[in-house]
Amino acid sequence: MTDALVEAMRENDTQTSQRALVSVAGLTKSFGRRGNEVHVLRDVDLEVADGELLVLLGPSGCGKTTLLRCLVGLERPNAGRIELGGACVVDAARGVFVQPNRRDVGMVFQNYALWPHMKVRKNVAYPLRSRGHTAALDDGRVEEVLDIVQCRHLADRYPPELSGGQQQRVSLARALAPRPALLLLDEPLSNLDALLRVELRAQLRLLHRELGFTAVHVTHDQEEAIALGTRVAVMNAGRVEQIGEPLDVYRAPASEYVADFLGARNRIELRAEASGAVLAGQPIAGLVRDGLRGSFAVRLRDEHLSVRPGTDDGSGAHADATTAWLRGGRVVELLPGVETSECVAEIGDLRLFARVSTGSADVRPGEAVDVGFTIGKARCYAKDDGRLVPGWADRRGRADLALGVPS
Amino acid sequence: MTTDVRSGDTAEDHAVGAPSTRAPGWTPAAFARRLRRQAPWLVLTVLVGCVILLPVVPLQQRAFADRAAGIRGALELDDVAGMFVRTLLLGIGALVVALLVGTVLALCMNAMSPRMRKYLAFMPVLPMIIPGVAHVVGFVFLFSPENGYVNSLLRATPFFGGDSGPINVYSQFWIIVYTGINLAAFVYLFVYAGLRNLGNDYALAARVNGAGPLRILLTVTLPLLRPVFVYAGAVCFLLALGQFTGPLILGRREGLDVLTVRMFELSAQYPIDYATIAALGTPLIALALLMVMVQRRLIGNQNRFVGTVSTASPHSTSRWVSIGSASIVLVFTALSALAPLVALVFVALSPFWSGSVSFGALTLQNFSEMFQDRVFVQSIMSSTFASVIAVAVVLPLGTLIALGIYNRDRLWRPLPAILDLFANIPLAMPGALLGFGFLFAYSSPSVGLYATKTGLILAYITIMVPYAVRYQLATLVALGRTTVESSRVSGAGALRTFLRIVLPLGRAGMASSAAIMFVLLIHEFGVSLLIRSAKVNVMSVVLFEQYDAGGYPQVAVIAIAMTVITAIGVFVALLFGGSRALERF
Repeated sequence: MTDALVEAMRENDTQTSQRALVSVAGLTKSFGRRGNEVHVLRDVDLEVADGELLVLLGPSGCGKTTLLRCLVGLERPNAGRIELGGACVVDAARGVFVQPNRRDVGMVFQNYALWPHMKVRKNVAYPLRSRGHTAALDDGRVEEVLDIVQCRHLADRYPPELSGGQQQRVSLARALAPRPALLLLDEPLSNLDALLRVELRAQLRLLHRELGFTAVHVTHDQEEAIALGTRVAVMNAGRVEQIGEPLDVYRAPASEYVADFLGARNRIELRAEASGAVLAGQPIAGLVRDGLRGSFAVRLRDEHLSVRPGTDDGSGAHADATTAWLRGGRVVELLPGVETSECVAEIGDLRLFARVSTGSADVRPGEAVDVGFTIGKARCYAKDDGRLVPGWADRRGRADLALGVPS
Repeated sequence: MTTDVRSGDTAEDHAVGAPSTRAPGWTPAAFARRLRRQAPWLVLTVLVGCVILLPVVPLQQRAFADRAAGIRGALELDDVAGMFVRTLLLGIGALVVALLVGTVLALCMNAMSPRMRKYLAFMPVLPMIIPGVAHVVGFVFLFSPENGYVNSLLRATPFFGGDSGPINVYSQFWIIVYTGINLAAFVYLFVYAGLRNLGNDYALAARVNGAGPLRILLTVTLPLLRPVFVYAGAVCFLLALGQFTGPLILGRREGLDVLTVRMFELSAQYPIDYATIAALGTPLIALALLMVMVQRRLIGNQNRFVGTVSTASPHSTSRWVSIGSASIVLVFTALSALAPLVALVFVALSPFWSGSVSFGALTLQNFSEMFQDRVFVQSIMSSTFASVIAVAVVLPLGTLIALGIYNRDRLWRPLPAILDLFANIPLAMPGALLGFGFLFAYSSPSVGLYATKTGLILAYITIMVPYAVRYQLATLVALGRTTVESSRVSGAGALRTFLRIVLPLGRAGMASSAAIMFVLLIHEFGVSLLIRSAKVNVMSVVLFEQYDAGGYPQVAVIAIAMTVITAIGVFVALLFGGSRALERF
């Protein structure tokens, strides 16, 4: 893409993005018959700033695609309000609902949804004609936007003649062509193979940086979310569970649900009482801060666990300056990998997954081991409400504890 | 008004929130306002309701009027118990024959090599493509006890003797067999589709677990197809109960009438006792409504049984199994489709129908005579004209109804449900019953459509609504939701989306369905016979009148003319719809 072209695009998109603030308030959507409803969105509040690429992240059925379809107007919410660029497009209470063709929004579909009977050029020109942007057509907007996605040479081909990656680029070009105030991307990379997905992810990020459009991107892939998003909103059962900058969300998941979804699959129960703390049934001293009381779940990623040959002397768990060790473990299985291997260990009924360096792992299935975790990387959640407990660990002598944990 | 929805959108754009999804600000006034925006859909529903219910409701009112005098009259008819028993026997007997033959055909087709299957898959459907009246007359020419070609041939063998038989196509047994064979193609389509949906994985899994072919069939394949059998069986039973053409032409000689035939016979007596005839139709209507409701439930259940289609290549079929299966299919096709056609050709080319084949006496005289016959030529024109106009009207109407049903989540909830129900009613009702309903409605001075082309066309439109809706719904489903949604998101309104996206992409499907509907209307007999008049007569009715008058070579000529027109229609359907177009019959 030439610099002049990028500059022109940025200028245009900056002009439109001035009014591209998205505001969602109290959005509710349910499907099904009365008495048998499925609540897909529950009182969702959300704001998207100009030029932002917000990623909606969550497992299947959490409501992220429905939220996207409400934004574009393909679903009609039961309650709530949506504003696009300062104009109200949905207000259920007042019966306001602006049709998708009358909203200044572009969308890229998961399955591309290119019309097979139109050539690429016509597909991309379609939104310009529909929205009456004839001047843009005459000014070569179609070629311009095909240049941006590096598909100009495909202009005279039919969609079925293109590869998946090419179709997705054309689909993006079609959505970008009328310079929408808001671009919506519904899992646009999920139908592509792994290598192409990574490549297109990089291109999408580059395009966003260069053009500065405002977008909402739906995905269930946490790596994609962190790579693309300027902010990430993790959704759970129709609600936004946490919203923030990608690395903040990754490092400090606000709830146990978010932690689990973002890969902290190891769960160790912790009970803190006046008489002392008990971790996975083993008494442990010096781990939790004074005054912490109650039942908690400690969440950890595989890479923050380590194993060492067993030293079980019956004294229970212990913590040193950086690591807490649980004794009495046994290796169940070792799944080899190229750089690292996955070690599955059990301590009583508790099953833990540790990622250890391949080759350096001096453990074999059946061997007795201690399983340790980096205290600074462990996140603690209250068992009653599942929320993050900041500053749960005893900080004395542990300089690294503050890292990444907001207190 | 506090809405910023701009004017100019279609009603589809302004869905009325369903009661379960009431917004906090829901008020009766707001509801009424939204409902008003759906006015076009309301009008469509009312219009379709009027068209569909016209031949049903007034007639049934008559049956129950005057303290159900019609019902009492029907119960006092001669041999009414015998007629009900014969109708039931026909229903059950034909169902058994159709299920058996149709399933064997589907299993044979599934057992063939893919290459053979490619060429033979449409064969079992052929009897459905031959016009009904032509088909049954073809069978008469083959199996009439005195002059039937097959009977003559059998009597020439040392095993049979005498002047008639051994097969009597006019007997109850053979009427059942004929009806069953006629409906077998229907069962075949369902079971074959079911087998294809199942794929080969389940059978292969049974195979590697030690089951032989018979055990696989009995313990895996057939049980998995249970919902298909229930559905196809129920529909077949209903169709068999409402059979008219076969029992009318075959059963009259020995006085073996069924419900629909008795209705026709009573309608020929003057003055017409509408109340009694209407009462005879009541059980069929009740069954039809039951069927429509059960069908919806069954289809819902069916999804649970749909297997994952195997992408693996089908299990290798032994050459002999493949050839044996192909032979069974070919014999069936030869007997059920080819032989009646050949018989028709012979009779058409013979000076008279004698039962023996004399190649030397073959002549084209019957053809030249018939094509100079004013009534026949007029009937070709009437049939073609009425069919073309009806298709031209029902295609957009069906598309609109299909759009309403397809976008059910955007419409006020009762509308698509009612449209769906209306769109199914004519399919579940026997043609003769509908025909009589039209006759009754049209004869009313306030309607005044009797003996008019408009009346015939309106009747044709009504009976084609279910087909038009089903075909267009299938086309919309095949297009997929995102195809339409991406257009709306690109700024196109409903009309532009329909014209630029749905129409070009669905063109082939629509053209194919138009050709099929044209063929079905050219075949149409039950409704046409009841509402015929000296001024408005169609080919199938002229054929029946010739048959009644004993002009067999003329009957054969008309049957062949109908078959040729059908062949052209089928060719067009195949051209646009591919080989699967025939499955839509």
